[in-house]
Amino acid sequence: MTKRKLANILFFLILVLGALIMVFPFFWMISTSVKTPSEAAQVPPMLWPKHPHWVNFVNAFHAAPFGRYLVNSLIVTVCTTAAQMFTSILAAFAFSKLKFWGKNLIFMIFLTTMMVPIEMLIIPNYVTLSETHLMNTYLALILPWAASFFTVFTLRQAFNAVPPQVYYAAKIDGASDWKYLWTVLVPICRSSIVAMTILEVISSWNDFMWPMIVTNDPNMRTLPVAVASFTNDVGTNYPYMMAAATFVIIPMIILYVILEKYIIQGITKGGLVG
Amino acid sequence: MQVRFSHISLAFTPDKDTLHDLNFTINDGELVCLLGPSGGGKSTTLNLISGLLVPTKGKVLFDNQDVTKMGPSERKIGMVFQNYSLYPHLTVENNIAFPLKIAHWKKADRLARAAKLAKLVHVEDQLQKNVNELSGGQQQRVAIARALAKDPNILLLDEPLSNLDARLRMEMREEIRRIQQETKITTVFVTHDQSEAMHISDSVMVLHNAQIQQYSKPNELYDHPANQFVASFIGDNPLNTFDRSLLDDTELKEELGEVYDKATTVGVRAENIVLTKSEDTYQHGVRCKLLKSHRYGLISTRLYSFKGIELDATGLTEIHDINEEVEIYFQKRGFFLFDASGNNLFLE
Amino acid sequence: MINQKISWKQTLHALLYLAPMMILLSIFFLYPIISTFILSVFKKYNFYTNAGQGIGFDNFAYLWHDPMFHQAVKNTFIFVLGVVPASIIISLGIALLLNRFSKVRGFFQTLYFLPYVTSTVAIAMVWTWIYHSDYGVLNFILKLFHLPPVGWLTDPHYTMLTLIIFSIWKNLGLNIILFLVALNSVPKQYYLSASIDGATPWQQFTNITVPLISPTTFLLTINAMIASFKVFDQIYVFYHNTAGPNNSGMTIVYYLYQKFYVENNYTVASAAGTVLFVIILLATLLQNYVSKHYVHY
Repeated sequence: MTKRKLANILFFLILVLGALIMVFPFFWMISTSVKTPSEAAQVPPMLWPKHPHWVNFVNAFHAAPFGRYLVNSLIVTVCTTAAQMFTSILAAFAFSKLKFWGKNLIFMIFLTTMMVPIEMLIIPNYVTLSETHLMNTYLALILPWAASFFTVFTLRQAFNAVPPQVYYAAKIDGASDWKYLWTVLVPICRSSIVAMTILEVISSWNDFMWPMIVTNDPNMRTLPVAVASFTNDVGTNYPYMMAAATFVIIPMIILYVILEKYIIQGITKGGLVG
Repeated sequence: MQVRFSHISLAFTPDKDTLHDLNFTINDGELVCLLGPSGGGKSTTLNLISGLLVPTKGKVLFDNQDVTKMGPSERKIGMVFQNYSLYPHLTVENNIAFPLKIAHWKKADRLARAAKLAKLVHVEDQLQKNVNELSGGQQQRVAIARALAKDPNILLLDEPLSNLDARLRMEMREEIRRIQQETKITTVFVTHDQSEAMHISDSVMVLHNAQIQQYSKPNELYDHPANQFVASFIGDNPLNTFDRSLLDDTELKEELGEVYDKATTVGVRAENIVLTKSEDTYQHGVRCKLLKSHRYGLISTRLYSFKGIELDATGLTEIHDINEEVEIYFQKRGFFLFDASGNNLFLE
Repeated sequence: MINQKISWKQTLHALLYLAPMMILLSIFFLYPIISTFILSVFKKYNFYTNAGQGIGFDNFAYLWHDPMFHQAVKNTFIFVLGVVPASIIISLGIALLLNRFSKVRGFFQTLYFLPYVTSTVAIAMVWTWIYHSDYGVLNFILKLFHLPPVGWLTDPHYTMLTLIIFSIWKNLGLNIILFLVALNSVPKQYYLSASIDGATPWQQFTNITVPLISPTTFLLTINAMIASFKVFDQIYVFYHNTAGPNNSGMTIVYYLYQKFYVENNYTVASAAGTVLFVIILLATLLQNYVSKHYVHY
């Protein structure tokens, strides 16, 4: 009994220590953000400054056009996600409920796009967008991600779980395919759709390599690109750099804390697709 | 509305007909049951009426209008599925009003109609609930109300009661009968439960092996089954069947006369075996030995042995000992002779 | 409707629903796949005219002889070997512990998952500060244990370790969540009957838990491998747009980026992309093969 209790205490301490390691960088980010540069460079490091300089956030925000970057990120994230969900819902519906020639063939062809590393595609996509003069535009940031077969695949599974009789009932009630999709199927599968939407919001917001490559105009940068190049603007001012990192990270953490249930659901459904 | 099938065949695979050359008429305002074992083609027949299935051959006529090529939404029908198939994201009210919303009714009008239908099916106090909060019986009531929303010409019910427990099933079948009589709507009801079909319908169509075995009034099925399949499928007790030759050396053979020679199989309902002869029975009996007897309330069910075969008998009240030999008599109304292809010879 | 033969009309109707996805994926996924293969076998390529000249395997020969590419492949594999097994073992351990304390599970799960939803670039920026040789917290902790300071971001010998530690930390949450799902889908009766049979907790773990969660373990391993093969963002941030001191952090994707974006050598970059594609394809095929033959579902 006591041995078991001891083991439990030990295990719990390991969990707490692990959690501290997971959270510490976030804490350190905020803590450093509100220090002066000299406080930040102090040895031994101070856990929390006596007089937190919250104004650092304001100053860092103005040290580069973060307002503009924030708007860019919002536009790109919202448009990418909306477009991807729209195209995926339509395609998933066709694969799940409609009959047509070449269904399996089309499905298999586009299934291969799930296996290809995105990094491999940036060169031809860069060429395509240069030739269509779309570099440094929102379209360049949005279009390549406006469709995703992974999302199609996951939504199709959710749609397949709705019994066919519901489709027949709707047909007898006079609903067209379009009406059925938007007034019956989508509301029934809303939790899967919300989960996929949030996952796409997160991945779109955090995306780095592609936005960096298609935006050499500083005005078109998204937040992660802006943060990565922020060092060039402020040198070694670590409090400002940590404040800038906070701008990118905090919105997603808020989203995560509010919608954790859906994110976990999306991860477990999507993550086990294989 | 009258429904007529003219030479309807349906094949899902080229080599086998699921339905073969079906011809029947369902009269306006009738409640007809499609009855049969699973795989007999009853749900398929229903789906042909609904337009969810399209026949390989033949015509479907509604009031003499050919609707074979029409889709389900054009046929003005209402349908209730076994699993209810309600829209889980909508309230009771919005489920009932959904077909009207699709038909672009004004909101006030469709809610008024939904309320009226909810009253008809007795769910008027559940209107604002989510359908998942309802019991199975209530869900089925909502499904019926939704099917009636567009004032359809025909109401189709596909095994609507089989997901309910026994008590609820009895209650709901009376409800469906009541609703049908109040609305006077032509109704087609699919079931595999013969007692359900016998209690609820104006006519019963027995479907088996891709064909109509018999289509008549419920009592007609029991009293004058067209063939051995119907005789054994209808009725609460099993039909005893044995080879005709067992009666060859009995006097009963003489009493049956000419028709006896055409028969190959004899069928006797368990409830039509008695121990005393009367006007209702054949005058000659057969000698049997009692093997087993089990009493339940007033009624005892017994097993007699007759020339090596076993006969079930129910409804006997006279008591006698196990292994005692007695003369048993067959009541005429429950005694049938079938020819080699199963047809009831007494009907000719 | 159910049994109707498929008609041209229905096919056209369905294609309308599929068209947006098909057009976008064709332009931005299917065409680039083919285009990359073609680019990788051009001897010369003019970006402005999008025209290639001469067909051959010169670009692959170039990779074969380029010490930088050797370094990239070697580092990528070191990275995968450093991240994947450790990440799987740690996350399984934490998932088991979380299952033990079901009351606080939700709270801890939230904390462990935080890094996964955050931008790699932004949080890597925070880690550059933690890794800092002079003012970093990590070296301060080493000092508390009387260990010499380490040049996490400046000493080429530590580059891979630096990247590995960060990457395990960043992606641990995903594996923990998926392991939790797997652990909770093991029927409780198995443990009950095993403990009636007198099995110790360790025996229960090795005889019930491990075999029953093996599909998840395997899937997570492959997914973690594929993700690790594509490491890029953190290198870019840690080493300020270089591949680390003496290119000690050069990986395949970084190499591709370097050739393509910095040196504008599109054909060699495409060849590197093709190599990456083949590696990931092999991993996927291995996944399919093993899950068909060895994993007990």
